[in-house]
Amino acid sequence: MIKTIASVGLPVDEMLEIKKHRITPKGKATGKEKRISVVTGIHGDELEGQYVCFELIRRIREQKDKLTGIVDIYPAMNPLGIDSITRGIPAFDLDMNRLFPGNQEGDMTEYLAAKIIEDVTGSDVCIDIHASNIYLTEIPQIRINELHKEMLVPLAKKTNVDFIWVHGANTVLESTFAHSLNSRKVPTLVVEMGVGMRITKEYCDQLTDGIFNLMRELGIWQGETSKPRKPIISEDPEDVSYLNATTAGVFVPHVKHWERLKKGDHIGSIIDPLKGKVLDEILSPVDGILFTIREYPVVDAGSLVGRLLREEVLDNQ
Amino acid sequence: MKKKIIYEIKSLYRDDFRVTGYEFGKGKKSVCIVGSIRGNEIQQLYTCSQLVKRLKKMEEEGKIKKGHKILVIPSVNPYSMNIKKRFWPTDNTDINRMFPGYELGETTQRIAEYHGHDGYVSMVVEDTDMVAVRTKVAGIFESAVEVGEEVTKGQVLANVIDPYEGEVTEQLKSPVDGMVFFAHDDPLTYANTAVYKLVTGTSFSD
Repeated sequence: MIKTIASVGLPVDEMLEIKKHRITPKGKATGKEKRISVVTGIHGDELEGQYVCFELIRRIREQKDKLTGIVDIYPAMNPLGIDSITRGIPAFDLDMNRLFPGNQEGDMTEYLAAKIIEDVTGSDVCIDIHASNIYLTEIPQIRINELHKEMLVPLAKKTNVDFIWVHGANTVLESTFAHSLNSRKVPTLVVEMGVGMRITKEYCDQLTDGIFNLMRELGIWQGETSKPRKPIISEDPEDVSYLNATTAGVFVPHVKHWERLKKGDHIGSIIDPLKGKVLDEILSPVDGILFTIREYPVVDAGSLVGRLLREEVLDNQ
Repeated sequence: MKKKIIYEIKSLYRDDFRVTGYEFGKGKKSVCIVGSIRGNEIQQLYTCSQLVKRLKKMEEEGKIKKGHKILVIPSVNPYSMNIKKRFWPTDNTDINRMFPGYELGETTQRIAEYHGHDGYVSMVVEDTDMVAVRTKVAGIFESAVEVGEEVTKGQVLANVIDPYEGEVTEQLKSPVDGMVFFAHDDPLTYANTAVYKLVTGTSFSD
């Protein structure tokens, strides 16, 4: 069943509608069904979640009799953004993920945020799928704030991601969708994977497997699921090593994403296309694995070109 | 008055894209008035809305000449208007650079094709009597005249000011007697920008 959860009239002959697809088990509801919400498209330039939504529905339909709970799929929280390749909400130029929990009496953007929270509230678990941005590619990972780690880490372990990154409480962004829901005791997992403006089918399939596994654990799905991979869990800020460009130029990687590296390995070069010179070589500062790599080549001094998880974290798992 | 959808495209994420027209009178297609083609052309939209309001009344009063049909299209591009973007939301193309259009082409070529094929006579404006006034330098743009104002040869039209030190770096003067029909509407200007366009001549109030 497709339902419009929020709609507002735009100035010129158009309605903006946010829609969800609800799938319920066959037969009569007991009223005790668990409910999972899969939300994506808060940032209009992040598209990885579009394929996950499609694939979830496709697989559920194939074995509809195995569904024993409610699945709510919200593919486009920021439909105008997705339609116009805009990260934020077009016209307002606002990051939608800094508007929550919103306000039903507020302006259009605040109203939409509030309606979304209202609709998702009541879910037993929520997954908010992000796709990094256009600059960085990420290995499938879940990011959790320390404040909610007891509630979220056990759930995140079921989702077949490669990495769970627990952040310090001092970096909490209170106006995000996930924080608003987690504060309301709706366990919400933020997935970051792939890159902006693209679909990485392999990652989407990996996460879809994980969502089915999580649904099975919660009693929403009775079908076969694959055993989730064991994620690397990092809670110590010291576990992650950041690589920043030392100078402006064009970054050309020499390694693959999710590659194990030794200290001193050549990660990439920053080049000058006018002078034909290499301006800097980026070397791995530690032994570790590259879980973030720069996708967009042009950099300024300070631009993030990669993130490494230290070898010690991998060994301790 | 007959409201009709002239062109429509289905969308996955948004309401369907519709170009809406208003027809007045019956008979031969005689004139078509088009409002905004770009998303920031609000004045054109407003003008058409006022025209629709008046024509509706005139038609009711039987003031439209028999055998003639008038078409008003307030906006060819509601999608761009609703997200405050001048050009097409995805590929940033200008519908007004897509005419005569191509029905099997890119989205904006299709919109142009459909729209251009309606059989109405377009109005042609000659530009032989127009003069452009350009900046030589970039900086803060401080205008002294407004659109619609009559100016005389040698009259100061604007100053370009150094953005850090505040000195006037260029004074723009009118090269002709005429009327301002276009004026740069941005506090900053680049060099070699046509900041005014003038129609030459005098006595525009006649």
